[in-house]
Amino acid sequence: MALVEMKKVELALHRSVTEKVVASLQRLGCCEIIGFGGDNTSSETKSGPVSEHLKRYENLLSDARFALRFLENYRQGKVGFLAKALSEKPHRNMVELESLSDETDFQDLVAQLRGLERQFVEIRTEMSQLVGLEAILGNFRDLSQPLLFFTTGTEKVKGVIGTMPVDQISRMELAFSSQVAKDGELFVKVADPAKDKDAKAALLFLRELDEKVSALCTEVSFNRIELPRELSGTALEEIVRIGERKAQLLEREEFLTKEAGSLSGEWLVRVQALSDFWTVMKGRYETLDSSESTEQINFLRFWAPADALPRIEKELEPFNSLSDRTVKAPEKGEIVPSMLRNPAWASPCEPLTTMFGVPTYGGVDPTLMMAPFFYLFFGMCLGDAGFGVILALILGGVLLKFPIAGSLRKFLIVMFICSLSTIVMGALTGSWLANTMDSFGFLNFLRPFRDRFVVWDPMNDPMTYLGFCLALGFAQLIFGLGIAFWDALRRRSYMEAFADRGGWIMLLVGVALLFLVSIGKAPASLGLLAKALAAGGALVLFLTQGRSKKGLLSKAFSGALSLYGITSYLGDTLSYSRLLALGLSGAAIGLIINLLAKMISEGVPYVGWILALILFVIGNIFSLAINVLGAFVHSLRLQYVEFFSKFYEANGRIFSPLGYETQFVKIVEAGDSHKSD
Amino acid sequence: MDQVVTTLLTTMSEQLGAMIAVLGAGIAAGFAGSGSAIGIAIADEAASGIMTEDPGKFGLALLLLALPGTQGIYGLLAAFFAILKVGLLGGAAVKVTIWQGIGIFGSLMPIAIACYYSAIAQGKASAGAILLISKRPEEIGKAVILPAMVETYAVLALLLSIILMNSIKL
Repeated sequence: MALVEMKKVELALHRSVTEKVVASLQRLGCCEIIGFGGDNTSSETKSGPVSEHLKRYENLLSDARFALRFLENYRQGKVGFLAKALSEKPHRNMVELESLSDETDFQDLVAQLRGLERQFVEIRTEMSQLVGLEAILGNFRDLSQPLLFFTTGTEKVKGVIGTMPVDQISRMELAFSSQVAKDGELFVKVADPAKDKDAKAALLFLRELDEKVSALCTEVSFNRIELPRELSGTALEEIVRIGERKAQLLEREEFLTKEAGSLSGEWLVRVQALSDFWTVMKGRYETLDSSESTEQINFLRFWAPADALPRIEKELEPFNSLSDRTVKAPEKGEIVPSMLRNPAWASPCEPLTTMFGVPTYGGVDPTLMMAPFFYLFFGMCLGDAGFGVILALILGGVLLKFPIAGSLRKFLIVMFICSLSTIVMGALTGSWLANTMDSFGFLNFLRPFRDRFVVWDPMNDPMTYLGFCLALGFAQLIFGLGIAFWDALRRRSYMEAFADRGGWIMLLVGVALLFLVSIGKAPASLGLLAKALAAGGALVLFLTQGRSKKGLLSKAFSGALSLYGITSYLGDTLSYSRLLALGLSGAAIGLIINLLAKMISEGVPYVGWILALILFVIGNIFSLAINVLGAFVHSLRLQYVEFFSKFYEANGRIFSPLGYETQFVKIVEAGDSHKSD
Repeated sequence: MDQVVTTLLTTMSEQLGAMIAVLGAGIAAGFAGSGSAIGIAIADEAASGIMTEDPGKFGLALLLLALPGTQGIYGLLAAFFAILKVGLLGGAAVKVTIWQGIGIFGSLMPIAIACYYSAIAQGKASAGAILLISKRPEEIGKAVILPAMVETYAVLALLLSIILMNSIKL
């Protein structure tokens, strides 16, 4: 419930051991280094051996990013996203990686890859030029004159090719025959008279008529096409030549792709391991770079969980003679990182908490209180035991079969627990793939089994279940206020505890009781107590909520106005009606799928049952998908908006210790590697 | 003449109730579906936009632009409920008076109106969220929550429609 206690450790180290100590701390992975900020950004400290190492690793990493992208692209036999996410990372140790890094001529590989990439780009550029040219020449396929006339021309003859509007053709022909006549030739082609607005035209004429023809062309909006000068044969010949060149290029590209593929096969895994190793080393040197130093001594400061201190002490024992250590409690005003720690059944929900915000250090970690509500609400929203069983089987299978780690594992565990809760809630409301057991005669025998667990029937009696949802919501709200009350007590701010939280708790519980008495759900004898609670709570709020204001009148006004806040509590409570609505919508979609499936199976002869089965399966998959999304989002929203707003302060910063943050390999202790190769 | 009027009035009293309910069902499914279509189209534009930069965002964008699709399903759902209630989907014949028909029609209005407008609004919210993940794909969790805030009111409308329909006893 509370966050892990943090301590601040200050280390003074002799220069000779600093690097080793940082490496040890990195291996432990439980220390968050505090940089000395702007103190040592001056240029003189930035040119030491440490910064040179840092620069080197940064350069290596940027090359590695390029190499990985390239090799990943040309990898033979693509690996699906799912397979990648589910497979275990290979194990490596630091010693191995270091020797790999020393042995590898990475610069050579990068140069090779860059060369390959340049060739690919060149091929692609030429290819697209060729394709464009081919398209243009294709229009002049029938032209028997060599293109030489249209590119450079000869001494006497010149030519132009281009396009012109179809409706100008006759005008062009008339003008050409009258002005150029025998001294030139005109070819016009309309590929598809019905559709084309532009005709392809080629003009050949004596060079001396150039100006005349130019004027003519402008008149009919002739659009000239420039051809590359090296074209000399006829259009058809050139097209054949282009085809040959394209085939050549394709062959070359295929060859290069093969080469890239074999490089990828040879190098990808190694570069991945190297990239991880360099990331780790970069982290190490960044830490060293951010430490403050004198000529002989380096100073390191870091946060560490109090219970990890013995481990750190043991790790640093070999360096005791050359180091000095002090451990301090966080001072007031310091921003301490927050580390969440919860029991196994609730800790998978931690990412959900931090997604909203990281708890403030010294405040409350809501994960433990939120987790049971989240699981329950998800179960109510999805609300179908059949879906629950399907989800539980899939997720359970995936979790058992694949060695998934990290946040994906947490997410899958959350979903697994949610699916168990879905089974329970579905059984309690009698929904097994909606009303499948009623609609298909051959499943009727299962009904006694189902009926044994049914407590509510939200389909036929939604009001009772709605009451249950709202009561649950009200309970969560009061629970949230209770946490705030407890938290205020812990911080010894009694006014906040009793006036702000206590007042509302009294008033709300009183009003709720009054409501129950008035609809006859609670014994009338409680009526007096309810009135007393409500009146007492209202009085407390009236007297205290204006306490920061000056003047009796404005105090009273603020106090009275604060009672208006009850509408927001009413709204919050009603918001929990979505539990019923989402549960109902899932059940109703199932009901309709069953209805349609039944109609088809009875209405269509012979193959009806197959069609019905297909509809049933596809319909339920669709329904499962949209309802899981809805259930997840809305149960989370109830935590974030309704529950967290009552007590949760999320102004913290997550504890991010220096460690082995790797993407492709898992770094283990020496002697423990090659486990999964 | 009198006979014609009598037959007319008889068929009217026998069938008009159910047909008014059908009218309501049509409006509910039609408007909710239209709203979803418009909403998804709005989100689609944003999705296509970010995919010009990075086609790999397709999966995340799809998740977000599917959100305004729920309203259409709610509309269809309520419509089905209504025609199921008046016995047009098989089962025992039900006698629906004109007043009951009007009641069912009224009970479908929350879903028709709220789903239409909320789906469009949610489409805009989704488009915003899609722009968010184009820069910060790791924030997909928050990006899904924001448009879901809008959906609340479609859910409430569905709830009220179902409760109202349930309260009309045939």
